[in-house]
Amino acid sequence: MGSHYEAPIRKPLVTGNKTYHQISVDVARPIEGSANKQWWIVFGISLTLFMWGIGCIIYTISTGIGTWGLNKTVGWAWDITNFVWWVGIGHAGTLISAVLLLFRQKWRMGINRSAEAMTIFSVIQAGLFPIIHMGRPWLAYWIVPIPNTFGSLWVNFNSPLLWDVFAISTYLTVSLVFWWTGLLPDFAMIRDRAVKPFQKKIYSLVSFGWSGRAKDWQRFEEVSLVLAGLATPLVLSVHTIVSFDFATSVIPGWHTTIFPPYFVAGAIFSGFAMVQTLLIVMRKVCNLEDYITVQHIELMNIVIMITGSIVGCAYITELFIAWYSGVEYEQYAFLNRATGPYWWAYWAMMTCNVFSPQFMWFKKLRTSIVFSFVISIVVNIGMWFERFVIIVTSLHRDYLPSSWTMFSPTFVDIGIFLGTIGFFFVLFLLYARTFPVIAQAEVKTILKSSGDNYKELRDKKK
Amino acid sequence: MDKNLKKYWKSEIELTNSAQVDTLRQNEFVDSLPIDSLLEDDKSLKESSTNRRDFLKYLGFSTSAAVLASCEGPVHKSVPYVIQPERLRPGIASFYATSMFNGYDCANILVKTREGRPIKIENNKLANFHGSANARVHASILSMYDSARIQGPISNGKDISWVDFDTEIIEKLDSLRFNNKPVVLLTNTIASPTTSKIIKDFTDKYPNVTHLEYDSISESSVLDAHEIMYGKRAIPYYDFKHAKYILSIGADFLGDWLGSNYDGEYAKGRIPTKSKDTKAQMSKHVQVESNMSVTGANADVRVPMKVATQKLFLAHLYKKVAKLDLILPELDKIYDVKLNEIYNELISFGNSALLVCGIDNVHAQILTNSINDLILSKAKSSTKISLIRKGDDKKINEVLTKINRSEISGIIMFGINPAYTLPNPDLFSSSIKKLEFSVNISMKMDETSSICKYVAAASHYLESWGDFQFINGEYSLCQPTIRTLFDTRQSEECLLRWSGNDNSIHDVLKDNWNKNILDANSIWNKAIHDGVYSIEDNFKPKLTNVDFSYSISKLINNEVKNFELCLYSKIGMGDGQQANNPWLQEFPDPISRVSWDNYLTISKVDAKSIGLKNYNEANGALNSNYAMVSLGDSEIKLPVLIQPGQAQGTVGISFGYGRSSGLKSEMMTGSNAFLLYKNFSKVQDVVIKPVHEIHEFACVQLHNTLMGRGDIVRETTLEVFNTKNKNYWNPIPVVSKNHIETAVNKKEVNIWEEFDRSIGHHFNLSIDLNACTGCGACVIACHAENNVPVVGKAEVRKSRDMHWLRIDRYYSSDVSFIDDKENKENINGLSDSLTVFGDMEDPNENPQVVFQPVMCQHCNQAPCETVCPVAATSHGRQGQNHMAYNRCVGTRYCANNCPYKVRRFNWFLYNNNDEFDFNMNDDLGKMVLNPDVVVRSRGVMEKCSFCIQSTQAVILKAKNEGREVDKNEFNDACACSAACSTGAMSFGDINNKESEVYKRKKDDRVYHLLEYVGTKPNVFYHVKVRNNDKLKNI
Amino acid sequence: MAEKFIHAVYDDDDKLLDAIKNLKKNKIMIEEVFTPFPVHGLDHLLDLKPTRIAIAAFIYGCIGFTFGVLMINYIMIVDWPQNIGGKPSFSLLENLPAFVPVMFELTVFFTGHLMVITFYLRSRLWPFKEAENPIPETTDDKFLIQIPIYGNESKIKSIIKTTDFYDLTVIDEPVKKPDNTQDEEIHNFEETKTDSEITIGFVFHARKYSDGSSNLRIQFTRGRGQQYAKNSGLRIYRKHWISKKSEVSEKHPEYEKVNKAISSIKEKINSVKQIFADGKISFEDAYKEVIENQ
Repeated sequence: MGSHYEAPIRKPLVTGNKTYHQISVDVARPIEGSANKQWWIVFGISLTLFMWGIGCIIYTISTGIGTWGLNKTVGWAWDITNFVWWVGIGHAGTLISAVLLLFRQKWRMGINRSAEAMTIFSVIQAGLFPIIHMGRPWLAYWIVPIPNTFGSLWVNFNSPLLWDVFAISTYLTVSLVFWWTGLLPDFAMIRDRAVKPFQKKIYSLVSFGWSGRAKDWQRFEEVSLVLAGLATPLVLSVHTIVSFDFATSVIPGWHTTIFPPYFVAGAIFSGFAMVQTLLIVMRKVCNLEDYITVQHIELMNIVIMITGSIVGCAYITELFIAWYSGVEYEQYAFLNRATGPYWWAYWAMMTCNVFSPQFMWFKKLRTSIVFSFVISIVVNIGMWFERFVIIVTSLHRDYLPSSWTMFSPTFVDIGIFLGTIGFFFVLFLLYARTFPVIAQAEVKTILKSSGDNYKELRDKKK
Repeated sequence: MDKNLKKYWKSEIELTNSAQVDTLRQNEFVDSLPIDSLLEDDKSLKESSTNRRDFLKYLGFSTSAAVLASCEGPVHKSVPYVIQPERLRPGIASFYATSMFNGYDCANILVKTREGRPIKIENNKLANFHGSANARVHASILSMYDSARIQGPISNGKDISWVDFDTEIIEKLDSLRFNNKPVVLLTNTIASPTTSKIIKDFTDKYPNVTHLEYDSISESSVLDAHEIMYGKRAIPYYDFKHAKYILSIGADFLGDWLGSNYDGEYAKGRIPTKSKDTKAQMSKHVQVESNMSVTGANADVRVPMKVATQKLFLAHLYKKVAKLDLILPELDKIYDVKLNEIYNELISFGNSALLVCGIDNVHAQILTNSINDLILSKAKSSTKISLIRKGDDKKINEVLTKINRSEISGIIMFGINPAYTLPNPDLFSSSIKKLEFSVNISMKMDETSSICKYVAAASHYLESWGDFQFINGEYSLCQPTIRTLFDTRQSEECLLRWSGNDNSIHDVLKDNWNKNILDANSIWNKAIHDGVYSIEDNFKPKLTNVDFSYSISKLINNEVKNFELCLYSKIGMGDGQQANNPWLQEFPDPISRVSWDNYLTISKVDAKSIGLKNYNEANGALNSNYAMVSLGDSEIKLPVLIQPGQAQGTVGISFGYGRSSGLKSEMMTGSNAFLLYKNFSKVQDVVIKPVHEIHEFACVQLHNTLMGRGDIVRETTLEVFNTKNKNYWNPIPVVSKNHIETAVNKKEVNIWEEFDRSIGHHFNLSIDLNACTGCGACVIACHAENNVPVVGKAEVRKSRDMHWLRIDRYYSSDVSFIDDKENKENINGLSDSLTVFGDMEDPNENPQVVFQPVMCQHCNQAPCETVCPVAATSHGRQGQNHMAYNRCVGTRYCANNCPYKVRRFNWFLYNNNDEFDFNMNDDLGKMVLNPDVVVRSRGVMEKCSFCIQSTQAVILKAKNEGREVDKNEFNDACACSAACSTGAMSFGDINNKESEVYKRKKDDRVYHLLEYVGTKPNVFYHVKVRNNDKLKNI
Repeated sequence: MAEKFIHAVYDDDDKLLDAIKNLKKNKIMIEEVFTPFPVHGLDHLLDLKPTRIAIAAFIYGCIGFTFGVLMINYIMIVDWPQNIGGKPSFSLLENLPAFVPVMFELTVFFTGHLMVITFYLRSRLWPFKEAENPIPETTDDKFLIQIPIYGNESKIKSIIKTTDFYDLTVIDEPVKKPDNTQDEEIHNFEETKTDSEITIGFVFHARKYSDGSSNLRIQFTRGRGQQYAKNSGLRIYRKHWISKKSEVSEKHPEYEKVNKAISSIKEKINSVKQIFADGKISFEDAYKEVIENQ
């Protein structure tokens, strides 16, 4: 047992008297069992939202972007707000599985599978917006580097939007293979347990014939490590590049050098909040309380608190720099954010993102499931507002007062946003029913070190 | 069993001859095809002509044929000329000199035609007078391609041929003449010698016909005054280039006052020109008025004043100038102070001062004339008079009463629309309907046509021959630039036919000119080519003594009980003739920036007291209450616009809106102010009641003040301009380079190596804010040149107007913009900034106004280019910021990243779309489109291109002619600079050191918009210098 | 390649490691080890060479970066240099800062994907690839050592017997591609939802012996998910099995004998079910009651 030693002060990450087999059984249960009523209700709602969103998208594409609330001054509003919001949410997954892997944080193992799933699903949502926000989305393929039909007119590598194209596609695909590689042993487990022939077929298909040879495992771990090493700079780069959309522009309130770190922190912030939201529900529904313990939730709350405070600092810094720059346009831009026509959005952002996470300083609160859930929702709302504030309040009153105006969304704007939320949950609910939602192979490796029964054993020995 | 087994027969054949049916029933089904047998004996197979290979051949052939067929693209048929017209080269525009006068607007113009289609109006530089077109004249080309035009003569609501029409009319006329029943020929002012001659012939043939001229917006008072004092019914002509000091009392001479065309001369005097030794000089302009007019907006000093007070003011001024000692009612203190200041200045300028007066009162005009005479004003021309208004209110009233009493049996009208422009249209219409004979020669089934028995389809002026004399001795010719689109005739031709003259109007015109106008050694062809022809003809006034004290007494005893309504006409709509013109409807008013509407302008204080308000919706759009404006028995309901600078106690409504027939429903905007134009007086005493309903404005500028951003519109006063160093009043913004303040335009500030712009053409556009009067001619010219779509009221309301060129209008929120700037700079502390910026959002009660044309600045380091992912917009070799529409995918990133917000996005499909039923949605309206400019599709970004199609044309022309481009040839290539009559805009090649624009770039007043951003624009502005050091606004 | 194999199954990773140490001590060659999760130290014990996949990844990264540089240089500088926002398009270097993000992304893209593809190919993982773990439990909680027998079967067995092993099977066939159904259902027993019930049925082992017969195993299932199978000690030709009656047909050699044995097992099964229902024995020990004294 020596090899499995862990400091006794560390809280167990797997509770309940678990054996290896028990872990397999618990992970396989939601897949082998049949869906309960709540699942169908939630799925139904999400599907309806999704369909409504599709309707709005079709309407937009067939009629024109004019169906949105945009105008000559505010050329982006909900579309890019949603894009950045979703990308941000996406970041937690990679961060948990990659960065925490590099830091050898064992507690990631309980949650990384779902976090990565969330990443992929939310990046899919995000990827939707840059396409449908185009005036001529049927020409979206022009943003990939192919010469146009009349000769060698290529894309423009100076444009942050093009950087986005590369960043997002790289991010999506790399996270996908990372995720899938990690899934292979777990799919294999399901496959080998499967009783129904069809299930067996499907899972032997998706498990790519994983057999668990010693050599496979060696490579597997190496690949995971290298991918983690890649994904870490990648995840940082992606939101940095997204922030370049604004930071490299000349619009006061966009043209801000603090954006890259500020956006990344915000991304981690919102991402963890979303993971929190999803897992708190999932551990209950799929009774995985033994694997996603209060300990996990507390640790995530701490991350939320820290990143929230970082974001808060960024807000303050922005204001300070605006004042310190001595540029009247910058100064007015931020004054207008806080006190102009959109003051409510700004203060909604401030309350949700800066003040609400500070409750997490209290252990009582950050270990309370309900409270964590509430805060996680609040933070998600706040982060949406952050992006809205950055985009709309900067645009609606920029340099020449003659073009100042306001923005208000139409039902299409709202419909598309709700649609993506629906789409996201449709995907996630299907995932929760058909995928091993916990990286059981990995959890098994830490069972002896961090399972509470083994810990007790060790304590008895002493 | 058999008993109850019935036999049913399906046809009577079966009944009669069942055998045959049986046989049929037996082999009901055909034998299976003998395939097996066929395949079995391969002998027959071999013999059979089509074997497998053939089959495959056929298959291949038919498939490929089908493929080929499907590959064929859509066929657009183009019909070649049967006989190629001379001097008409497809793709090359040809220009025709012509002139227009529609009773309200007049101009000598060039018409640009492409493949025989007139597509644009341009200024005729050869003309000494009226050589520049205003917004309405520029837009008038679209009125020719108006789908609402009458396409042939109509008698009693039925379309008939001209032959029948003429016979019917002549019959009627003859019978009327026979019974000697009086007939009125009611026309607009006739400024045309030939037309007058034709009318004379007509009235000679029909002595029972009396001709009468009627101006929809009457200038009778001016005419009367001139007639009384100088013995001729005309309008005094003012020569602003001699006016160093301009005092205008209610005269909107940069707008439509007396159909004037003074802005060119005025602007020249407004540009402070500095030479080494002498101080810079510029004219000084003081405006005393009630409504905020374009003229008032351009004034150095503006004094808001009720018209009643204006009259008293004028009387006092006259008293001072004429050194009379008579007792006059006292002026208010503030006004009195102003009066003295103004008087002193006026006198100090001696004969280079000028008083113009727009008070619609004969006595006011008399005093004005005599003041100008007393100060021997050079600017009031002694030899030239303007002949473009002749209507006489008295005569008109007489005739109208006659008509209403039906003492007249017939009426013939052309060039007018009294059923709309008269204050009591219902009465007029009913009495016209009663007449036994009523003819209207009109282009539209307008209010008047719809009540006349006979409607003669009139031709547009671009389809007509004609001549005019706007100023005595200054003749203009009008020639058709296209064959009549429909079965129409110009009014002169109708009269000719009806007076039994079968000569074509062309012959009559030419004949008349050769006989009476052209002198021996000048040729008709030359005249028609130039479009203008002037002879020595000086007006000699017959001076008569006038009792000025009587005039004064008449002036001073007038009291207004309620609100003083000042009716005016907008630059956009004028007298409403072109109400069906989408360009003009969408044209934002230079002052209010509201399009698609007229409204009641009212001062903030009055609005508050009555309880009327303006407010913005969630999407920024402007809303307002309605007001019920009642005058006697007639009342109209219209929205309210709180107008900074509106004199308290006065309200304003513009003419030209509220048309009800002969136009599309989209164009039936606003309400008809002519209903309040009682006895042709522009000033009325009205009662205003609030109506608590919400009106939705389509206003293109929702924020009115400059927020103290002094470097967007740079201003200084003449004093500072003359005494202080350039860096004081026009500093170049600096950035920190190694902690050293370095000017942004310095090389070392640039982080990368610049492209070489010194070779070839490099285009720049210069805009002089001193010369720009905000007239908006450039906006419409740009509209016409670049096929800019019209998007309609609802979209404009959503801030989605498509104008490539906009004229921003800012009000100062303190007394002057310079004060605003100081207020902003003196902010200390957060709370202070909140309050100060809060206050700055509201304009002042009597603000300074500034106009700033803004179009794409064609930055050499353009933020928009950098961010386009598909490289749809990049920089041209000649300095333009190109926009490749068909490459654009519409991310709108460029528009967001444009500091000037000049990029326009096609939110919807604006052509061939019934949702946007404007000229781009019908084939007739499309004829105005410029074939050199692509019509943008939905979802792409568009913007000003520096009219690249024209600049390239100029370059090619020069190339073909094997010469260099002439130094100012490019200026007319850009639609805006070509249209600019004030010389505010100058476009050209700065690599050509002789060019005007290069000279201008060297000027001290040059600054770039938002220079500190480092975009290095190719458009530069000139600091606005105000000549208001001594006299200030109140 | 040896003819016969021993599959030693362990139910704990530590036991596995001890066993392997033990075998190595006795110079027993281990051909392959199948584990449900990466057991640390295993690769050292088995003296696996460290994988070079990371090196490959690095090379792929270089390829990606080079590709990025060349592509951007060709597109922006060589093929059609444009004046975009006044940025110099004269040489790649001057305009480089704007190109860094894409170059980076391409590097990551190439590294990630090419490396994973390499991994899949080297470890023979792809869709429709058949799994090769000898018994399905190795993905759940069992650890399997595959030892080739070079004549000294008894020795190996004895060594393994010394270790804390879980199950031991001798297979005189190299591991072949198993037929699709790992275990074929025979007793189509109803699934029990409650854990209080136990169902026991016959299943065949996935792999056939050279003579075409295969081990008849007894599968114990409890509730949903908890399941294990044991060798009954009978070798039967599957083709003669009648799943309805769950006995062999007359065609089967010495079928009376076989059926007798099966029926005796059936009796045991019924008795065990009863005992289990009474809660006398645990699910894990149920098999003992059946397979004892076989």
